[in-house]
Amino acid sequence: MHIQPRLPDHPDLWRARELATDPNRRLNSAKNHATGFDQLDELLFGGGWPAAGLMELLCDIHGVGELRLLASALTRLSRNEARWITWINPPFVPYAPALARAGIDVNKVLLIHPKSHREALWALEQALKTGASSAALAWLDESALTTTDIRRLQLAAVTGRTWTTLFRPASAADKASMAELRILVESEPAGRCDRLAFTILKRRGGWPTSRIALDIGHAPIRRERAAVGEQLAFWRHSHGRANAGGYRTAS
Amino acid sequence: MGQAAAGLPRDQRDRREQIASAFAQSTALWYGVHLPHLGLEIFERRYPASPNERDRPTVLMDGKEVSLLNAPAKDAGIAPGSTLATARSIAADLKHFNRDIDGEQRRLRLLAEAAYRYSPRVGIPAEDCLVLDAGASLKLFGGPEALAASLLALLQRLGHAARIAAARTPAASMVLARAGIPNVAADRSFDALRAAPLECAGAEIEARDIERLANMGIFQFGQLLDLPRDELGARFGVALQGYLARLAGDAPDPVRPIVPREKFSSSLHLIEPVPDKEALLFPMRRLVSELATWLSAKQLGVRSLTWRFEPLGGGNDGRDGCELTAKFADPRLDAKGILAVSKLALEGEEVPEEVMSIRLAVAAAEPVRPEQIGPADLFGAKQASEGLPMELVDLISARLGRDALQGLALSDDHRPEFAWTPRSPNAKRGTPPEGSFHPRPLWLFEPPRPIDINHFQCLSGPERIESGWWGETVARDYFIAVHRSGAQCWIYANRRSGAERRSEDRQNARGAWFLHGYFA
Repeated sequence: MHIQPRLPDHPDLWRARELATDPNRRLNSAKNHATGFDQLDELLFGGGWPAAGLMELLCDIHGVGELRLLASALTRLSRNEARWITWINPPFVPYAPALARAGIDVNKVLLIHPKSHREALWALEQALKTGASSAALAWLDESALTTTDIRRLQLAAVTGRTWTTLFRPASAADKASMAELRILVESEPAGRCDRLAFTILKRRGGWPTSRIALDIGHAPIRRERAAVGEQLAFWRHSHGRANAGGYRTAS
Repeated sequence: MGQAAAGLPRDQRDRREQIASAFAQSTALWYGVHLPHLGLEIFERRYPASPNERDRPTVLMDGKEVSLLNAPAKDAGIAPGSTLATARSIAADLKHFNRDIDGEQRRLRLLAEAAYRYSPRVGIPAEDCLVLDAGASLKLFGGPEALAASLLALLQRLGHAARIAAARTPAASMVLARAGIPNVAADRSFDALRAAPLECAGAEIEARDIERLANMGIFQFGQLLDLPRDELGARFGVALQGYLARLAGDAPDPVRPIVPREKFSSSLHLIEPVPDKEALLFPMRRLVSELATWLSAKQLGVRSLTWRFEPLGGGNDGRDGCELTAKFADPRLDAKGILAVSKLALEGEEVPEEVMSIRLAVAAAEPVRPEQIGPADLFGAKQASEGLPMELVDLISARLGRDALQGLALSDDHRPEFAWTPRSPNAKRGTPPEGSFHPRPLWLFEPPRPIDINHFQCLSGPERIESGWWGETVARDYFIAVHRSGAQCWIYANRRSGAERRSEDRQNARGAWFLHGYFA
């Protein structure tokens, strides 16, 4: 039996000519978690965040929309899978009402607060390789993190089929990493909080990109305005119905 | 029976036929198991004799009298009922034990649990007998003879000589077993019962009454059952009357069934002391696999189990053993998972240097989810279930401690810091209330940080939150603002209202603005 004709069918194999912009390839292996942003999906291997693998989100300041970037995929995972969404060593409190507002089932959120870097690494590896997490978000001690650790985490993420996101500072961009996707996230100029800028530093099936602005839509203000608009529309509608029905208020 | 009954008065004949037909109609089949040497056998088990000691005469003393004796003692000529001095004078190398009634009862209980595999109705109505109703499981075990043989073999493996007899009532089955009538087919049990001597009633008929009946020429149950029962009751008391009614099946004889204990305890004594924790895993694995077998047979799981490690010398020389508890969020029954969590718990514990004995105990077992028992699918993974994988919670909490884990829950409160609560990951999950209508940040600061408002540019607001008069009063105006670094923040200013104004001024010396979260 010849192996050569069968080789191109192998899912783990990609060839340089199948670049990220080829729509057929994405359809073939659309196993990854769609990000909810078409602009981003088109750039990512498999049309989304790695369903089983490690990605790095490089980000120097909090509050530029780095979690909103992930929220859409997290929402879908929390609804479709009976597995944990594990947060390891989060820097602040993930605010449950906001998670619920984004549609994430807070019952599936598991926070792990390790006391040391060793414990954090161990807990993260367990969360990944046991397959008990559909997604894992981790904030590790950058000064103690080694390339070998990241390699282990990538393997564990593949074993347990977990979408793993490692949050690192922007300075980590210069270090080598085994993560299959690395994205640098920055804020757009002040005043535009419904946009952020990202740069893909490393991805499967494609070259790094330059800085790209992304409309992340879930801007807090826009949502509030839309909600007020909905409310007004509802009042107008019910008011109009009441008149159409011939009701009159007694004077 | 018909021929023998021909010469009897009519009422006696009627009574006999009535009992016989009741026996024939009943579907219950009670097996009486008599353990004549139980008292001595528990000591033989406790102190196993070396080969050259096996022929030594041994007796069991009940009070001042010899009550049980082994074969060599019998051969030497010792009779039950003699005193220890007499027995000693007959056999100088006599070994004797004092009767341990508690020990007998414990052993009997254990045997009853072993017999539980044949029937769910196993009872211990007397101190030397078990009864079990195997009427419903005869087919499963291949008929009455096969079942009796299997039960006998089981008891023999456990070190007990037993006599087994079957009858339609538990009382009758015990009489037959004590009489040593190897009757296992119930259809002839009534005739066999008639021939049994009255002494086989055990404690049910007083010795004084047996003597009085013997003086009247009544030695066998058949003679006693033929007599009019009311008159017997008038002369010998209602106890005898009631017993005969139960024996004949006229009165119900509720046997209280044993409930197998929901406990597991097993220990291993090592031949050589174990020097380190790694080597401990091998004996631990053996105990865990024993536990897993027990759990899967009962379809139960454990939430908590206790390990005990005893050092060389059993803690007599001042060195104490240590105890270790492994806990699980969900009841578990898989050996692999139980061992993994035990191993993690062991890592954080100080274990005696030279462990000689290990004990594993489970105080309570609980029912498990059906999918935990079901077979794994082709890839070794369990079928998708409703519940979240608690194995991860067990692993993490075994090493990092319970406090390292946290779940989230919503609570119905307008004050932002009270709108969520931490939750134990294995707590019961409720349906969450709707998220807030207003925008809320994904990161929350606890406690809020004082800020310099000059670094922020407000984008929207205010949203006024004023609540909590019953506890921590909150009166704030929230704004969404962008920090000059580009971070989108949730900031608030305390509203100065009424009585609080003065204290607030003191508290917020740096200004009334606080950062409460990031719109990450």
